[in-house]
Amino acid sequence: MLIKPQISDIRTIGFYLGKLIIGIGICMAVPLIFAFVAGEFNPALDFLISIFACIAIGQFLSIICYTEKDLSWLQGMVVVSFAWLVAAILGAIPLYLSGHWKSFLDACFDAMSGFATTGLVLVQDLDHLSLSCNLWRHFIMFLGGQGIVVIALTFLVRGTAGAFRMYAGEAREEKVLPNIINTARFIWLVSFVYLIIGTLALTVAGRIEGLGWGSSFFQGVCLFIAAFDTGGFTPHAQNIVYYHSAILEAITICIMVLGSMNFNLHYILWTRPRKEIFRNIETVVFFCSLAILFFIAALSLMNNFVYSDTMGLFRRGFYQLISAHTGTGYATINPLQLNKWPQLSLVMAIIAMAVGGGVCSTTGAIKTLRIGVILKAIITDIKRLMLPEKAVVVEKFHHIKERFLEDKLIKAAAMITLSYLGLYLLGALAGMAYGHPFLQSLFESTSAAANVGLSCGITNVAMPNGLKLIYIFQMWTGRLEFMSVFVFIGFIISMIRGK
Amino acid sequence: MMFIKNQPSKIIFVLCFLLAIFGLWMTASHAEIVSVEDLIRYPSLYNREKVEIQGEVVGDIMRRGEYSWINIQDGEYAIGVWVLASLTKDIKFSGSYSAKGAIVSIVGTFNRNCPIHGSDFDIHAESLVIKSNGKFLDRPISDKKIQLILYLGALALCLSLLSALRKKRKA
Repeated sequence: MLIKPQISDIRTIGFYLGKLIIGIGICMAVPLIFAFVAGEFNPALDFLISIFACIAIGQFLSIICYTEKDLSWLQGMVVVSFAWLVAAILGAIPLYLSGHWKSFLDACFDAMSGFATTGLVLVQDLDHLSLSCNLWRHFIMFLGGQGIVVIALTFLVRGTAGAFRMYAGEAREEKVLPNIINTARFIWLVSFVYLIIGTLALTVAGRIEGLGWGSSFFQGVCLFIAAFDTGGFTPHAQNIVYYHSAILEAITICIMVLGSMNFNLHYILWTRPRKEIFRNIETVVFFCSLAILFFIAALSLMNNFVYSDTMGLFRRGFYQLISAHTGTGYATINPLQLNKWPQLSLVMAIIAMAVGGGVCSTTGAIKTLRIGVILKAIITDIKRLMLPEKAVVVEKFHHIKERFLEDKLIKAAAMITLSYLGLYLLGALAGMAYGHPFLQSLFESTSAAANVGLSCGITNVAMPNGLKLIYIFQMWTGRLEFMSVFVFIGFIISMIRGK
Repeated sequence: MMFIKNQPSKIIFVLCFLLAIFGLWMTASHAEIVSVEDLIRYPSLYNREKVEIQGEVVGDIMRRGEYSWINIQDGEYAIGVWVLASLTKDIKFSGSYSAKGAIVSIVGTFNRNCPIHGSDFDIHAESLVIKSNGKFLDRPISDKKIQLILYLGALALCLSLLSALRKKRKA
């Protein structure tokens, strides 16, 4: 029997949602100030409208839903999943007002793509978009990559049990530090340190490659944010191709890899000996899978004379593959060129996207830890079959510390993996229903659900609204890793059908 | 007339030679005008061929020694052009939020996988002609937006005051 949620549940959810909405409004002050500094007065008005709308809605919710109660698990999950939808809608307001998006749905698509750090775009004439709006596109990637709730935990919510429930709802099951607020702050510290180093490197590289100081600094910030948060937006329509620069490509590869690493691993690397990187199951799976996938993709690309020289193979083949594996979506080739890749290479890119990076990072997808656990479980089962019946097989794996391979862990990993595979398939079927070939549909669907952002041409303005909505759902569900979305859907159903 | 009657083979040879020169000149100077979209969709058709494209210069002009990279947008698509830096010195505007970039016509060799630039998809320009100079874009401020800001701002202020009063009363 479904139990109808009580008014107090809805009030608590509304109250915390209101706070998060105010937080989103406050964040818009960054592009607003930038717009005034850059002399972009029209976009500044767009941001003022959006800020006031956020504050009005947020305050309205805080007033009518005022409560002093803490969040329960259910409420925390619903707040998080609902907050991401609301963030995409409110974050889309300045984008839509800029006139570069054909419809509000298109602007919502790009906002969700930004918050979920996907990188698929429906923007038109990006090269003429204002700098402040471009900064907002990248800034929402930063907010989404860090986690909208992480921001609220750091600045708005006091250290409560409810805070952890929201944190967990945002698909971050690991705490770096014992205190959840300190964990959130550590995530910010890591991001800011890399932001300074990465932006500096990209700015200098941009300057060497012929950009002006101002332009190279602005684009350096944008590129860093989108690479570290494994997002994939760029300030120009041609993506990374625009720069025609091997140095920038090399730097973005390093940033993408750093962004796909578990924040826990960053903490270890900052505080303890670095040999952890060679022992951790996540890094081992990541680099092994990358090597195997690239080897096969490279053979296929060379055999089909797509790229015949080593430089081309690395700058076009390897770059696309590592971008797919880290879930970034930066591209050094046009989507229509990617569409012409041999099928085997496309399949390798799909697998790379489907696997993704580390847990507790900014990537989406199944994630290397779960793949590692499942592979270990399969090996253990084979060992069990080969040994005498009475033999006891105890398997361990190394992830920050030595851990036992428990059934509970295997079950959880298998469940999430299956959910992801189902989500990839759902989008692929939808793509096929709209008349696209299977492989291309699967590619685009995996890219959306795994929050990658590489496209083989299906995602465009002319795409049917139904497919846009499905991709939005995939980006949202994929980013939150199902549980809070399932709880949210259950909550809605129980509101309608509960007794 | 005497010359024509006496040496017909020489005249035929001269005519053939002139025709050949004319043919070579035609192929050298008149490259096919193609859209950037066609280059991306059917790269094999134009690979290593001389092509002509027309479009707007967008973004930065990136100087690399004697050459520069410029990006040319033609409709939805854009392509990188590797061009002598001296040819770009007359480009006053490139496409951005504040400006409409110069419209240029470029003749050059299209490369599906450029052997010099790590398999880049580019055009190595031989000539660049500025068709129009581009201009600053005037973006007037909308009165409707200002009205909306005033209404929403007043609403947000009222609600914030109400919320603050409520907090004070609770405290």
